[in-house]
Amino acid sequence: MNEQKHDNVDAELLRRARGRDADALAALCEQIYPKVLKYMYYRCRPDTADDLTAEVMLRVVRGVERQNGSFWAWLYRIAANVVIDKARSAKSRREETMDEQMLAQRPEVASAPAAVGRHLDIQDAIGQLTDDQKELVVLKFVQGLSNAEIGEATGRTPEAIRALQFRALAALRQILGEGDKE
Amino acid sequence: MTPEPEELLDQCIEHMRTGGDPEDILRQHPDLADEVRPLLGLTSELAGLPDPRPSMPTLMRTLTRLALRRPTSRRALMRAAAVFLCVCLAGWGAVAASANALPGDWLYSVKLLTERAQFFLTVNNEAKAELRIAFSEQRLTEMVRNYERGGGIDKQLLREMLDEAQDALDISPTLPEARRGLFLSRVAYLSDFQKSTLERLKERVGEEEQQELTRVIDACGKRCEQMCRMMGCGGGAQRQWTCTCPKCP
Repeated sequence: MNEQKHDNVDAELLRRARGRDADALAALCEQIYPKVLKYMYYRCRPDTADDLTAEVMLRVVRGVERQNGSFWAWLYRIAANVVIDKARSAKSRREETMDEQMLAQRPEVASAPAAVGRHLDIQDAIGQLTDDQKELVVLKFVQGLSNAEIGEATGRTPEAIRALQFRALAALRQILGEGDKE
Repeated sequence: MTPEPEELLDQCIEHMRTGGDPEDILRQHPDLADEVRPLLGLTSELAGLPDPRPSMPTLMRTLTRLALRRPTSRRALMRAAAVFLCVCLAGWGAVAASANALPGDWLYSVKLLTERAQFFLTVNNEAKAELRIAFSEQRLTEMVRNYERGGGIDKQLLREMLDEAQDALDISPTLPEARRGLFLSRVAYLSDFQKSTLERLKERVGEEEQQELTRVIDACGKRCEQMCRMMGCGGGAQRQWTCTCPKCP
């Protein structure tokens, strides 16, 4: 399995970033930007991921002075809130919901062409999950967070995470046409 | 004591994350193994999904917004934004950035130039034909990525995708007979793959783009069939090569 455990953010770096040290803020942004982008990319529409990531970065820069506790849990709470805000905003404008907007996944250029199709399938399938399932799948398997980190970011108990994880993967498999018909 | 499937799945995932083989655990619970095993395969695929790369214009917009957000710290943030940009560019590397560039990106022309140089530095006809196939594959990948980035269906990329495949075919008569069959089967496979990918895209686009895609899908389909006829697939004359086209037996 591709282990994507997030490196701990250096405590000294965080302290300096909280003090609005420019280099520290830049280093922090550089560390978290790809991870936030990937979260948004798989959680939402690929073509909105850049803008949603930008919004997360703004909130991080704005709020890092007051950040405490687990940095990653704090970061993914911000990211989840940005997704929720975006969905509310879209709803209020009677636009499509985030789920309906979910489209295909961008394949990696270096991938073999055959992988393109599979990535599209998986992205489509993620888009058809419930929002809770989608969040869990992205945090746990795409981002590589542990159950403890997910618990801290989402407020779920370990038992709830395990149950949701099972349901999400089963649903994903069903959507991909690989599961038993219920 | 038999765990719940949810618990067993989680145990296996944690075991995999530490480099272990989930079968070590599943063997102890054969009654649940068949239920859990397929889900584990899926987790590996999810973990292997590719990292997205930000588009340069969006990154610049982000940096500008970061820098302008708070007047009281504008100077610090401006500096942070500049450092961030340098780190991103240096970290990703110009070559990698060029390889991932799409039409409209400032590095896309670098990518095309690199491809052209690669082609003209290749003297062997078979290698040239292989490059043409690779370029055709690349154009399809770019077209899909460009669409997913919100750029719509790029007709130019579709044309180039077909042209590169045709250019590859134009080289094929110069190939040794023994190699030609294998090469044609690769073109057949490529055409069929392009056709099926575009058919899936077609379901997501508007009417006008559907028409464009239909035209290209037809062209890919015809090319695949043509290759298969040339190779005698589908019950035709026996040839000394084996077709890898998925449509053929």
